[in-house]
Amino acid sequence: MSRKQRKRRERRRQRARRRHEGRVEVPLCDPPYRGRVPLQRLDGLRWRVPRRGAMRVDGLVYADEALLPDLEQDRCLEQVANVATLPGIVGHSLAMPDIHWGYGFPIGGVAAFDPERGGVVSPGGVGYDINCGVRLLVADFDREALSGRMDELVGALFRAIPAGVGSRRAELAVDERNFQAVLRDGARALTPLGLARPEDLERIEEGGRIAGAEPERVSARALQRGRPQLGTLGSGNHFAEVGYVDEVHDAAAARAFGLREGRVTLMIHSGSRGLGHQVCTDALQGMLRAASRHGIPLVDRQLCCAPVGSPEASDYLAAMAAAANYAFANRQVMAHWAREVFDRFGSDLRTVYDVCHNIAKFEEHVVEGAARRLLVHRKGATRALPAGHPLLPPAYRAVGQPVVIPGDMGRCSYVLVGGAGSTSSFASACHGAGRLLSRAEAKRRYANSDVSAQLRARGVVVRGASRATVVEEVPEAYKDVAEVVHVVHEAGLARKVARLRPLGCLKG
Amino acid sequence: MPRSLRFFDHTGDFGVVLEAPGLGGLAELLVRAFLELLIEVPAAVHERSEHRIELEGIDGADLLVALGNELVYLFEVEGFLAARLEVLRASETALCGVLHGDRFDPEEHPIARPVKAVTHHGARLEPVEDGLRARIVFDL
Repeated sequence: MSRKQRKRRERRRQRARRRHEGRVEVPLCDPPYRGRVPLQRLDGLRWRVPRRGAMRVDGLVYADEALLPDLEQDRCLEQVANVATLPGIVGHSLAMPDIHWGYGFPIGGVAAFDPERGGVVSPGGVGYDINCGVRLLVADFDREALSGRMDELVGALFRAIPAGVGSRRAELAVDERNFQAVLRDGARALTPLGLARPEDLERIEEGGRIAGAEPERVSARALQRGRPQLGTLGSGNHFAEVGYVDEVHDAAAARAFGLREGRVTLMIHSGSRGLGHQVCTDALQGMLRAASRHGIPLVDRQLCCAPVGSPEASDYLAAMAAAANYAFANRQVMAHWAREVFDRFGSDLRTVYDVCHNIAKFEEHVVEGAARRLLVHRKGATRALPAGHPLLPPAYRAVGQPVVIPGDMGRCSYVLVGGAGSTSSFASACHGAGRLLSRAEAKRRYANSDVSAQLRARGVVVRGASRATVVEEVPEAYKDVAEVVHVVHEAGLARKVARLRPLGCLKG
Repeated sequence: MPRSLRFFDHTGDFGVVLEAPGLGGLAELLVRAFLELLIEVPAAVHERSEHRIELEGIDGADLLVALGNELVYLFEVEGFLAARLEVLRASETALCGVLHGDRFDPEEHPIARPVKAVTHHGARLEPVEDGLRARIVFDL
């Protein structure tokens, strides 16, 4: 027996032994780019990542010259190229200007897959915090009404909205039947419980309920993690922020959204808590096996996926929809409690809009001149429907969808409206400022600083469940959201409507 | 081969590189890394109770991710903080052991940063001289 034959026999034995031990070979492929990714300038706002290696389409990055150095600081551009290797991807692997390094998919990434062309669903393209999103509410009064009362208001919100590990409000007794209804019907399930108003529902993406949810596909572990956490903020970059309208850019859209200069606002940024994380964790295990079975080569394990229509894809999409519905309900419950607080301060709170940041949804888009039903993954991106779109609620149909873009605790946030240019981004825009410093770097630079005191000096009252989180979320850890929004506005993905300034922030 | 544990930056999160003579040693280090991220003073977590675990994975890297997610689950649902793993059996696709630790008490164990998941992103297990090296990223 030759040396070559002996080697071949040994490899056969190894494969057999691994099969016997339950080992699954995950098919891996080389990343298209390692290190620096060459960007080809298309115009001042768009950059092409040329197709190379296993990429099936080009990447397309929305950024201007000022933002480019930030994008090249981490490995997010490699991830844009990696996403382009997935089966059935159409158009481009897109990157919004707030893009930064994520797991598998970049945060700030958008990718659409055509089920008719072998398109896949990837839990990594949605992320762990399924339907992490943001709700914007507007009060009846202007900021002067809160003069000298911000400590009191932020303290009251801190007591009303549970934040941090293990915190919850015991009086939210959602029994098993109602909890199943939350998973199936999202925020809609809260109307009979007196926790949601009908006018809230029409101002939530998808009406507060993603179709196709099957609570029975959600694992017992996910239910155990999620049930006690309903109506809680969570940690990391989650927050509730009181602000005010500092500047109006588009008077007609602002009027439609109920925003005017000086008016007080509240933003709630949270998601599906442990339930969504567990749904993602559960799915990834199955998807790694699915990728192996379907022979889908992966650049990164977190990109594991399954063809739409396969049992693994169907299981995930049904559980993901349930987790997304939980997230809609989660933000709704917190909005209800915030209303109770604002009521004591003499104001109602009206929902302006509630958007998803992490989601995969079947949507119709025009590709190569034809309308196609695509599975659009938004991972740290916001849907941005232009005026006239049939999915918009009647109140916003003439102007377009509100796109709420939180910044950081110290500078500003924006309200935009979906623009005509979003047809080139599968009706998507950015979702925030995007991280600039890693958590470790923020800690190294600001651990000895009193971040809360510094923010107070800038007129922002901060309460955090953990000091470490406040330090790691220091404003300087983020890009300037104004620069990010400038790109989105100029590219026509969404137009500026109003700028918000923070007055008080509650951090998880 | 000496065991080692080194954290690295990931934009929004943290990762860890572990080195040990075998998979069991890597699993023990992962438990320590998890605790160091989660709790401000890891030494304050005493070994007052225990939890038996039996995990399966498609390979060694998947097994370590599964162990990390088991720690997330035990903390969030059972309020159990693992301080040490005693490995009883470890193969490339299965891990059996006993976690020694304590019930979470927010007064005694201030949280540094909640760990929400342990990811497959860039999860790697590779042979190095006299042992194994693993790379794992945490979602915070």
